[in-house]
Amino acid sequence: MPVIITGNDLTLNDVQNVAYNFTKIELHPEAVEKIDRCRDYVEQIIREDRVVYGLTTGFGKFSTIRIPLDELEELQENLIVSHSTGVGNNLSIPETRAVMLLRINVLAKGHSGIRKSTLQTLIDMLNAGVHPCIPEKGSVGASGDLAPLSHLALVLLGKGEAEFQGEILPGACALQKAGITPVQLKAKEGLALNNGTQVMTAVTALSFLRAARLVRQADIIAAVSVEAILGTAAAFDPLIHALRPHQGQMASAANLKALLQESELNHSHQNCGNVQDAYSFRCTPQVNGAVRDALQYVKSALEVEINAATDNPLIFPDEDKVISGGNFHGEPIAFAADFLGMTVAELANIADRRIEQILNPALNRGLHPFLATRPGVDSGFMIAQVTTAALVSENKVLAHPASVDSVPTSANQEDHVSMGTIGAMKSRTIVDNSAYVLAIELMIAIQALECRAFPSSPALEAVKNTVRKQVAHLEKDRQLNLDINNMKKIIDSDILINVVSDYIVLK
Amino acid sequence: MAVVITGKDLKIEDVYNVAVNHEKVELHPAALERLEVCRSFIERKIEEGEIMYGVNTGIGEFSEVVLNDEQIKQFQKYLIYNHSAGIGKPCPIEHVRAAMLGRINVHANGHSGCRPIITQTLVELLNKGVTPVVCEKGSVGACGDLAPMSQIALLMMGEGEAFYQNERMPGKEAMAKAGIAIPGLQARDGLATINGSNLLTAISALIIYEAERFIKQAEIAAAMSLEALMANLKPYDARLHKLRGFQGAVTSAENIKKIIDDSDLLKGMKVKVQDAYSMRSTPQVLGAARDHLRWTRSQIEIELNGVGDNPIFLPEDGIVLTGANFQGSPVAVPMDMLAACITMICVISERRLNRLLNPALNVGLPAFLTKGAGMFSGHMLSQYTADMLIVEQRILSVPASIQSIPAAADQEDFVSMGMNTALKARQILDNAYGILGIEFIAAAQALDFRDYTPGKGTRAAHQAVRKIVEHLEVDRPLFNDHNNMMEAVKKRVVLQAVEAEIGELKTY
Repeated sequence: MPVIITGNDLTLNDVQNVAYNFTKIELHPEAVEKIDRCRDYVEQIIREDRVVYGLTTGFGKFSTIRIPLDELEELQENLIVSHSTGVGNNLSIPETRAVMLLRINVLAKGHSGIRKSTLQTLIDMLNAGVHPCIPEKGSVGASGDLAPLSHLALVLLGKGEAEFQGEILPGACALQKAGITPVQLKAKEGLALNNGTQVMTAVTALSFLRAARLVRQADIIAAVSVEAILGTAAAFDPLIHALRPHQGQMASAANLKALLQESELNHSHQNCGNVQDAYSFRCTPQVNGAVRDALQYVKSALEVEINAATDNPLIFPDEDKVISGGNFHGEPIAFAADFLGMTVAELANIADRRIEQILNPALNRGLHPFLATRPGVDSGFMIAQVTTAALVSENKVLAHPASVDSVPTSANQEDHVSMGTIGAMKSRTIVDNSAYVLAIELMIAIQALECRAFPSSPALEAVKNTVRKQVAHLEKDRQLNLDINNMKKIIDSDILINVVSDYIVLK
Repeated sequence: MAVVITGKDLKIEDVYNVAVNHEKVELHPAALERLEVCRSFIERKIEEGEIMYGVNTGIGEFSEVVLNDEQIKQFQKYLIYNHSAGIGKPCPIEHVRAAMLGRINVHANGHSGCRPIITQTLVELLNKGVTPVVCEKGSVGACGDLAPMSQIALLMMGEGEAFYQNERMPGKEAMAKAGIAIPGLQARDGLATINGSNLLTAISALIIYEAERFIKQAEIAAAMSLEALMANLKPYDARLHKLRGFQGAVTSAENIKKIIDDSDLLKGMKVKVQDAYSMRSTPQVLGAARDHLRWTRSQIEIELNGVGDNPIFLPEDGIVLTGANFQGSPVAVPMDMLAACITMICVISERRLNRLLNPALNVGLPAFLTKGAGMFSGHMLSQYTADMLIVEQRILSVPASIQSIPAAADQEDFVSMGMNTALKARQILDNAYGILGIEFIAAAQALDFRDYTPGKGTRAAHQAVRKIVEHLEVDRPLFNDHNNMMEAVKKRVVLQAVEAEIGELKTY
């Protein structure tokens, strides 16, 4: 079923489907109507030769320079070509697809003044899988992501480069292979294509989707660690959490409690005298829960932004107005991206501490040091924790906010910018690092669980069996990065959540 | 003995002695002569009507505005008024004294062009103990420390405020009480008083003086912890470090070795083959900080003896050069890193503290160093205190020198932010005294439980700590101990006791 684009109803789930699953999209008839009405109005303005920013003037600092009618098309093409700066690696294919989808949704709102045919070409590119090469560095996040979005538009003009069916091709060639005719931009259309926050928003949205999965997996993985360390489930009692009723905390505690239910292992040490575990176990609901709540905020900011008009100027045909403003300023997403990175870094931070507890013979309640079968000859998981230490340290450096920085650009006309795209890029790295840390925690916790004399709960035993299909018990030392990469594949999929959902309701 | 100012020989130690110990200063006759030569040069140029920045023009963005003869006289006054911006509590007296000393030494090079009486008045302010009230915050570290230095210059006109004999009073009154004539400001005098990064350099110089001694104290604390943890003492053999070739680490190992000399641990006691990094790599870590400190010292001594001013007058060549020797980056960059180095020293100190407290790691010591486990919690919360301080240090360790904000209508569109560097380095060092104090307390407590005899230096340190903080037999409020020990570390009490016993530890 295609995703229907109205400009107002895009969900994060749609973003996921279009970005990763290549779901097709199509315009809603009402959107077509709004687009046409807006374009008619733009053409009326041009016929009447009115002075309107970006239609009949230069851009940014050059907004006071009037452009004659016969140069309006060249103006738009020059805008795209001159703004196609940007350096570094290209965005990934799913990221590029998400950027295209979000830009299409903005244009469908009917306030940007693009022609329907131009927008349809962009839609055709997305549906056919023509993916413009967009360098990831070079946006200051206001006015939107000018440089990277210009690379998107370049391919529409038959310039630039694009990926098509696994090959990087010149833009014109990619379009030709896909049977798409390039576009000659008319007045306003260049600005309609490159003025907005879609790069930072797309990257943050995909990171959010991964983070939302990670936080649920973190509950499952922490539960395995609690079992591995012979920890107590008392700290997850709902009575405690009802007295501090943060939604996320209550959900996380309920998950942990459910995951540990009917565990023979837990039952076997009920009277062992251990009444309190270390913070990294005992405070898991408080930490994972706070991350959940923070992600809710990030989600709400993203849901507004993916359905918002982030252009400038905005065209209101019904009110007979073209209004200049600053909806391209990325601050709302810049904050969300920084916050996303910080909070996910904490998931990894506490996971690294649980790993330490499981590996350290002074703390791990009778397990071998580093879970090595023959300590000394084998080093076991000693260096796996070094890996997580490196990852969480990198996360801490990256957690420094990008949004508090601003460097004036464009002869001080654009004298405060959001840096949200930098926030998005570094938060993406934090999410990726954190996925590795959780993968390593699960690998180690499962090994520890196997060293215990009793089976765990049915849900966690199922988790163990799932992991063991991918990664074998570490009997003697072997090259661990291969195991870690296999574990990471599990974390990057929904498999853990699906497996435990057969046994419990995961919140 | 007075410190003689030549413009070329000012050392960090001189800055400390004048700023903190109120040593007197005097201008070398040759320096005075240079001041006079430069002044007659500039007066001749004024008469000839040559356009010179800040003498007969406006400043900054207004440098294209040329002043007439009457305006030249008034200009210096308004310059000082409009640059006397700033906010916050007064700078500590030693910071302002050190800044004045630095400014005097700049003038003594004979390229600044103010009247000699201005420099001589600064000398008198120092020698008679009149210290201008200067707000701590408000300099972006280029052109130098304009705002705070202007508050010093206010006194030259009998304005502003000053501390004199422990009282805060109007500048004019302080000058009168101290018997210092008010010189007033004539052409160039004002700008020559303010246009340099003297305050941030002054604060940095004092930090270096303290940091050199702080590192030695960190070695003493480390030696105490190592001995309390029954460390393997082989990693402190200088030969190991010579093979790698970093002088800082060699020195650090030699210092530690000297402190632990004569320890039972060196006489065949059974120890582990390899200890944890926070123990074993102490010389490498402290040595890295020391190597950086040596470079920082050399940079700051260059700045102390250089002509950090604008414009610069070259009477011997007959020209006036405009440049940017006020830019604080040469000081800010090494000082940002020095501040991070001090944080790093604290991070490793805290890890040794952890090993002293954690029963799984402390080689038979009671958990949290208390014999009454359960009823008492011993030093459990001492670690919390250290940890909180370290996090503050980490936040402050973000460099300031990369944070430029354009000022003055984009004429001053890159500034060093070296004052932020200096102020946060000061905060980091103050926290460091607290953290190291806690390691001292814990290490002394741990040594109390050991029946073997530690090294000679360690014994001296242990006794010195015991004069400040008693053994913790029964739990008591710890903050008094923490604060008292922090003060003692700041005053270098333990260092003095150890050096009195075993001789001086090496600085570099």
